[in-house]
Amino acid sequence: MANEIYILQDRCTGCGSCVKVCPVNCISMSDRPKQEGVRWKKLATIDVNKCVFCNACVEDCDKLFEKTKVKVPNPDFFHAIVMKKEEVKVQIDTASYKGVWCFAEQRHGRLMPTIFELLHVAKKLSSDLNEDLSAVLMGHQVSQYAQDILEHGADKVYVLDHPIFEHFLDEVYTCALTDLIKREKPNKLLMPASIIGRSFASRVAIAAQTGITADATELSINQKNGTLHATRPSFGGNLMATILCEKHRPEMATVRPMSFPRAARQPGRKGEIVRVTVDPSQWNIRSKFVKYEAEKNETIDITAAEKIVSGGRGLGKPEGFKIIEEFAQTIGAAVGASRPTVDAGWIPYKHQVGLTGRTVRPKLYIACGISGQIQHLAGMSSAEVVIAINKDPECPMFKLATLSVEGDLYELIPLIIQEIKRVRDHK
Amino acid sequence: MHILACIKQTPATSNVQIDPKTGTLKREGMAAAINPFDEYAIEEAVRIKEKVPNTVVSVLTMGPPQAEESLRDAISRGCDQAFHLCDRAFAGADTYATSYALQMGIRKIETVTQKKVDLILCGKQTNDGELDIPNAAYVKKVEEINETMIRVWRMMEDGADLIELPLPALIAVVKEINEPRVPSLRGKMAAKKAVIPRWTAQDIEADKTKIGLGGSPTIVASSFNPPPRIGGVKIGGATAEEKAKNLVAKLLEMKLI
Repeated sequence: MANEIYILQDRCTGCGSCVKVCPVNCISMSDRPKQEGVRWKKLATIDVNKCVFCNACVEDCDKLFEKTKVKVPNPDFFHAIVMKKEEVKVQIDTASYKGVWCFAEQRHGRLMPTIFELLHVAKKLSSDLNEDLSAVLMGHQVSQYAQDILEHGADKVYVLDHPIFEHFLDEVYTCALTDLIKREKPNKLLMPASIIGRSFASRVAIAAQTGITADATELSINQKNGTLHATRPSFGGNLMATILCEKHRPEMATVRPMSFPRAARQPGRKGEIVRVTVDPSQWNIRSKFVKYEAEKNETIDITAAEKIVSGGRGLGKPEGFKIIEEFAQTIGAAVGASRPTVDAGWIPYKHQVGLTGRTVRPKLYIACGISGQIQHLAGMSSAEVVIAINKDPECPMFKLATLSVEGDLYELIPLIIQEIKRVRDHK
Repeated sequence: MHILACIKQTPATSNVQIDPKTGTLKREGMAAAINPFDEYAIEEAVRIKEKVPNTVVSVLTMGPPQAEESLRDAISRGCDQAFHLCDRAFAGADTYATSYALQMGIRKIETVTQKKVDLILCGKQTNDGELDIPNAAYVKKVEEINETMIRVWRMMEDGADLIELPLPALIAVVKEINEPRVPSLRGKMAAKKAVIPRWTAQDIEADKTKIGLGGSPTIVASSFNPPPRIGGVKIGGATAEEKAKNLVAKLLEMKLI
C-alpha cells in the first residue's frame, strides 16, 4: 500500500489556506462544478505525485476547523484533508542509545573551530537530555587537541589518532565513524556542514541505517520524548522545515557553520580522553589520497568569515574587485561575489555566494553593486547585518538591508575606506 | 565505459520569486527543471564520453511523471539513454530511502543494458551513499580517467585535494567543473524520439519497507516561513562624503568595525 492523501470534497471550502502551507507546492485551487446547495466556489486538489506527506495541510485545515468550532457548534466544513501513512515497523531499541556526540574536524593537523560551535549547541541538548557530551577527534598527531575540546564543554573525547586519518578520504572517515557509532551507540550526532562534514555525513547515516538532517541552523530537544528537532532552511531560505528522526538512532544533523557562537573555554576543565584503537585492515579502502594543493592567494574562506564584502554586476568590470578587496582588507573581511561576476570570469567560483555557490552566515555582509536576485539572497539572507551599496534605490537588496547607501560605489567605497582609516587613526 | 548520471527534479530556481507583500515564496509558475547542480554532472558525463572511446552515458531519476521532462532534457544535452523510477510508493523519500531506490534502479539498469556501471556522477546535492563503491564529493576537475581509474580534484575550503579512485566509483561535482552546453538540434530530436522506461518499485524489486515515506528515517514535522527581513535605515547625506561618514559612524555605533 502506498501512502494516501485526499480531500473530502463536501468539507473543502476552497479557502486556499492549504495551498499556502504546502512546502512542495502540490496543492492547487480550481473552480468547483456547480452543485445544488453548495455555497463554496473553489475546491482544492492535491497532486499526489508531488506530495511528500508532511502533514502540514492536514494540520492547517484541522486548525481552521478548531477555530471555527468556537463560533459554530459543529461545522460541516474544514477538517477536509485525509492522509493515510503507511506504517513501517522499525525495531530499534532507541533507549539503549545515549549521549550527544560532536564531530571535531581537523585539516592538516589543525583543529577547525566548527567543533566549538557544535559544542555550544550540543551542550544545551545534552543538558536537556541529561546525557553526556562527547567529541570524536580523528586525525594524525592531533591528540593534543583533546584537552582543548574538554575545556570547551565536552565530557569525553574519543581520539582516533592514526596516519590514515591525516588526509580526508570519504571511505576511511565513513568506516571509522560508523564503526564507533555501532560500538558506542550515541543518541545524537552533530557534524559540521563543511566540505568534509557534508561529504561523508550522509554516507555515515546510511551505513548506520539512520536519518540525517543536512544543514541545520536550529536544534532543540523535545522535552516529552527526547527526540531531536532539527530545523533547516529549504527553498533557499524562504521556508524553514523542522525534521524529525524518531525511530532511528543516532539522530544525525550537519550544522551550518556560523549558526551558533563558539562555546566558552573553561581552563582546567577535566574530562575523559578515550584513545580508540584503529585497525584500518578491517576496512575495504580503495580510494587514494594523492596530494594537496594549497590555495595560492591567501584569502579568507567565505563560509568561515565573520565579515564579507561582496561585489556584483554593478562593478561593471573585472578590475572592480580590486576595490572590493581593498575594502575587505580594511575591515578584515573575506571577498564574496554574485553569480554573474563568477560566470563572467572576474573572480573564482569559490567566492560565489548564493544558491549555486556557497551559503554564508556572517555577522556583517556588505553587498556592493549586487541588486539582490533571489538566488543570491538564498546564500546570504541569514547574515546578521546586511549593508547595501547600490546606484538603484529600488533594488531588492535595499529592501532587506539593515543599512543601505545609494550612490556610485566607485565614489563611495574609497571615501568609506578613507573614513574608516581616519577614525582608526584618531583612536 | 558505462557512465550514469543521477539527477533530481527541483522547482526551476530561476522562476522562484518572493511575494513582496508577505515576504513568502510565490508558488505560481514554479516549473520543475533539472537541479542546477545536476546539469554539471550531465555535462561532465558527456565530456568523458567524448574523451573515452566506447562510452555510453545513461541518466537516471526518481520522481513523478513530470520528471520525464528533465530526462529528455538530459538526452538533448548528449546522454544516450534514460531511465525513470516512477511510482507513488517512492514519494516522500529522504536521503536514505532515495539512495536505496537509486541503488536498486542502478542494478536494474545494469541488467537491462547488460553493462556494468563504471562511473556514477551526481550533482552537489544528490549524494548517493548506499552503494559500496569509492566516492568523492565536491569534485571540481577530472584530472585523468581511463578504463580502470579516475583522478579528481576535490574543492576544499583552503585549496584542493587530488584523489584517485579505482572504478567503479561515484563522484559528486560542483559548478566549477564545467560550463554546461546548450542542447543541440540533433540532441533535441533524439530527446523527442527517446523511449524512456518507467519502472515501479516492483520493477526494480525494491523492498517496500525501504522506500518512500515509510522507508525514510526522517520526516518533515512542520514547515514555516521565517520572519521576513525588514529593510532598515537608508543612510542619508547630501554628498558622497557625507554618506560615507554617516555609514562609518553607524558601523562604529553597531560595533561592526
